[in-house]
Amino acid sequence: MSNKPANQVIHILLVEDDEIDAMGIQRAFRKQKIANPIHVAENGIEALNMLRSSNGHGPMPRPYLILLDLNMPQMNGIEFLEELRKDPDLNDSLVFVLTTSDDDRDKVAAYEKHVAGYMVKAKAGEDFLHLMELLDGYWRYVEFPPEKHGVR
Amino acid sequence: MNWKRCVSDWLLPAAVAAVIFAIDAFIELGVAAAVLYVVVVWLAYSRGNPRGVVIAAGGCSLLTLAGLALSPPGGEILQVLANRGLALFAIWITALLCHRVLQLTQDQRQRAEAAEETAAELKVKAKASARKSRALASIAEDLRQERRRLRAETKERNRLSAIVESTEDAVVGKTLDGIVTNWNHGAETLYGYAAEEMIGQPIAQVVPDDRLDELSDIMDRLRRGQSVKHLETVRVDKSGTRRNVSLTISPIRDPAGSIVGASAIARDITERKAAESALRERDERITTLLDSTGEGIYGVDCEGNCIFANAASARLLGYDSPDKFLGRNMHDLIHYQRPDGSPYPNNECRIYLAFRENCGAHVDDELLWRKDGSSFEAEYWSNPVYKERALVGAVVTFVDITERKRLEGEQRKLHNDLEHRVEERTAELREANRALSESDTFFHLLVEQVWDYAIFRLDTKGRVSRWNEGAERLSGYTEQEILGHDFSVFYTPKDRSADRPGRELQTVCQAGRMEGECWRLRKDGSRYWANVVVTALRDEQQNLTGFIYIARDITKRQIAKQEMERMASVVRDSNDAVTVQELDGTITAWNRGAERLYGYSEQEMLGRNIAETIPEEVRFLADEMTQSIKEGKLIDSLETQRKTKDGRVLDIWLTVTALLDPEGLLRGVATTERDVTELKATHAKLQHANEELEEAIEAVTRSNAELDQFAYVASHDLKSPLRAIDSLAKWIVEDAGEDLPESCRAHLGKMQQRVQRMEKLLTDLLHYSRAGRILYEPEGVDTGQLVHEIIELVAKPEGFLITVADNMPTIETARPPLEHVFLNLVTNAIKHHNRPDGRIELSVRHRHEFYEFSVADDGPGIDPKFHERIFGMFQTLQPRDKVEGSGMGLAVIKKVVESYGGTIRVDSTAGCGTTFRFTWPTSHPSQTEAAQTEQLSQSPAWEPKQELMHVQ
Repeated sequence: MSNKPANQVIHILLVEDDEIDAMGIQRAFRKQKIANPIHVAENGIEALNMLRSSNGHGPMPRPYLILLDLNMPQMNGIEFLEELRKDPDLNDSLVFVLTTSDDDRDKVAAYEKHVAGYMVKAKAGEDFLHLMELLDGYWRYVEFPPEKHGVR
Repeated sequence: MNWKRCVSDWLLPAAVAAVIFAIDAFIELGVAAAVLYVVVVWLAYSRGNPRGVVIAAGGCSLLTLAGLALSPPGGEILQVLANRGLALFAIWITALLCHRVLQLTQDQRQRAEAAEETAAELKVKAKASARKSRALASIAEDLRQERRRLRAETKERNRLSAIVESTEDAVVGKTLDGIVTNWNHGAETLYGYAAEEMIGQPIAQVVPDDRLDELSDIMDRLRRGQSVKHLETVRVDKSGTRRNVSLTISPIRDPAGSIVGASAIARDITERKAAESALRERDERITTLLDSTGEGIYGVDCEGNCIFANAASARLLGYDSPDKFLGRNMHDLIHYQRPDGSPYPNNECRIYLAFRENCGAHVDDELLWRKDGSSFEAEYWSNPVYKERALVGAVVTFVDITERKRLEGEQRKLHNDLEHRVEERTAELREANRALSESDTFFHLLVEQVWDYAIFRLDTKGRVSRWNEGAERLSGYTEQEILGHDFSVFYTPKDRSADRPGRELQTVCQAGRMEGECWRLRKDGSRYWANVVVTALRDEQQNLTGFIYIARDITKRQIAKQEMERMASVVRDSNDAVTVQELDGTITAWNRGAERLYGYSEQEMLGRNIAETIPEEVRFLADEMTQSIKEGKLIDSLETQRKTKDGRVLDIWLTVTALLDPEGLLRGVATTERDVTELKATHAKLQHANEELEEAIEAVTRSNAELDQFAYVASHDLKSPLRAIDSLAKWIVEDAGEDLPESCRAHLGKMQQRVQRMEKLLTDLLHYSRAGRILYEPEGVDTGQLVHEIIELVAKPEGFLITVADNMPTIETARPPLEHVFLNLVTNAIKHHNRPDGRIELSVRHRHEFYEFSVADDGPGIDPKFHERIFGMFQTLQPRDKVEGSGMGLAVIKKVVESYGGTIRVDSTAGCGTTFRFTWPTSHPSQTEAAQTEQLSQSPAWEPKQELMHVQ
């Protein structure tokens, strides 16, 4: 991220109910000296609120990338994706699934909601090392969707 | 005289009489008052009736006498009587006078009347005489002639008297009382009495006592004016001799016509009678003669009408009396039809030829017809009859020749038969002669070429002297070998030692022939069951010349017979009921099984109808079955019901066999019946159990699915905290850095190790629960290639050698589970090997429908006492800290192998290496197993690659 302009800093929304997992990912980011701002939501409802700025902090700054766990209380990952794709303001969001579930049904459901990638935590590597490598490369070369109002 | 006149005539006299009587009654008897009655008589007289005068006198007399009793007494008795007498005298004198006067008066009146009448007649006659005056002359002439005739008559009478007197016939005159008045010369001659003797005598004198009735009859008839003509009777003459006379008696009338007597003319017919009697006797003799002959004889006149016939002719023609023929035309009566049924005209009659052509006829080919319309064949002779050289008719003699014709026919037939037989017999003899000449050669050919029968000849000692091909074929001896040998070689040693051959020949000598069945030996020692006929041969002098021995191999038949008997006994004694019924249900066989099953004995059931054992409600089944069998449909078996003797109803499984006769016609059915009552009950129980089992399976399936869900949840939810612990432990070490005491670092290290083991256990547990429950599409798996890929994949120490047999097959099967098994066995072998230069050999054997794969190492081996345990869950032989493992590997392998129908076992002893062998089906499991597998696999799919990693 360092080579990108300041206004092009990519925000990361981590939707994860497991505190330890969230801590682990944050540690991984720190360890890799990745300074992108990380926002954490404990479930789908909270994540949607953060994206729609209905909690008073203003909408999620773009460009952003969502790391989504599937097994969560209140609104799980698949339900969250459903709401997200229905929302015209948010339906272009980039989402990576990062979960413990190895179930094909989950994979199928997730890709049907047009996720950018599905990653099982067990394969994310020691200290999410593979995840870090992936993200580093990803946002270096991949163009993110532009501001929607700008397009209009 | 009418009533009025009667009253007027008599009233006055009666009244007067009454007054006089009254006066008389009141006057004394002494007064002659009764004289007054004279007045009454006078009054009667005045009426002019003479009879009335007498009656009046009579009545007055009575009144006078009555007055005697009624008048009051007076005077003397004499005076009274004198008075009364006087009165009576006066009355009667008066009466007589009056009566006489009246009579005279009456006569005079009658004469006067008659004179008047005569006068009237004279007037009439006077008129008539005027008319008749002309005829008077001729009447006078007539009277003259009459007088002449009378004179002639008188002369004639005198002449007749002379004739009567002179005739030889006896002429007798008699009165109606039978007194003789005339007796002529003929009578004198006939009766021997002179006229003087008989005149004035009763005629009965010449009538014999036994004919007196006849005489009185004659007299009666005469009195009635009838006459008797030609009465043939008997009279006696003076000498007492009976004389046959012919009497003609006529009544004699006086000129007024009254019968005054009779004249009898008698002629002596004694001689004629004798002649007649002789003639009659001759006739009778002839009739008897005719009647006694059996031939029918009748005579005809020239018209063909019968004039006599004998009894035989009536009998033969069916009439009750020969009289029935008299006067009948015999041709029309008995000869009217020809034998061919056509009518036989009278004018062609051959019987009548006798009088028509005047020649005799003899015919025996025609019929005569009886009264009842039947006919018989008759032979007849018809001959003309002459009387005083004139042809008067014919006499016909006939006999019934029906019987004769029949006998003739029979005789002819017998004769023909006899001739025919003679011819036949001759032909037979000729044929026999010819056959005999051929038979020798034929017989030899026959005997020698018969194959199915052993035919050979024995001499008197029992040695074989002739031998045919059949014998060679049957016994195996050639002619050269056997000729001259004793026939006992054909007998079994047992028979020989019992001298059966000798005894049999002896029997044949006595009986001439013997037939039997027994075991016989072939040349090679094998036995056959033979039917044997032995016949003694004798020459013309009955000397024994040898024996003919004919044997036939009936072993097959015997075996078949025994087989049949055995079968019959099997059927008879079978526990299953076997019955045989005719088409109408009549039972003809009932075995012991049936006796046991139904309780009826064979004797009870034979001849009864099977329907008696069929309950009403299933009888239609039996009817349908019979109908189907009759229609030729095949019925194997059916379930129905039968009733036992004690009334129980059994469920019966019936197997039906149609019984056909040799022509293939259905004759009946045999049924095998088995009591399936209990079986049905068991079946019902089984079904119930099955249902329960299915429920249980469903429950198990449900619980399996729950378990699966549990395993999944466990793998996820239990693993998350584990990873968190692991991460936290790591972060402690990282964050504390050099500040962390060494002991803490070691503890945290062990904690991480246990966390990893825990995670492995959870993974393996998950795999175990899923093993074999996932359906994979079968594919062609080259097992050689598969194991090579695994070998390359697994980490192995340097120097470790793994070899694979060349004959690894390609199997159509699911790849992932097979890969799992191989991988785990290979990794186990490496993991548990105690040397770095270990060797592993993979090989295969084809065993039926399975391949048996072996993974053999030369490692430390496993003590046989652990062989069972190693396939259990969570079992390890090494401490987990020494060799890392969940203890689930072999348990999972076993479960996978068994889910595909295979088995796994271990061959090992401590120190000698270990060989795991498992079998895998050569083809993919069947669809049902697959379906079951699918049903059970409602769990998240598992990934072989990941599995592989976990096992490592």
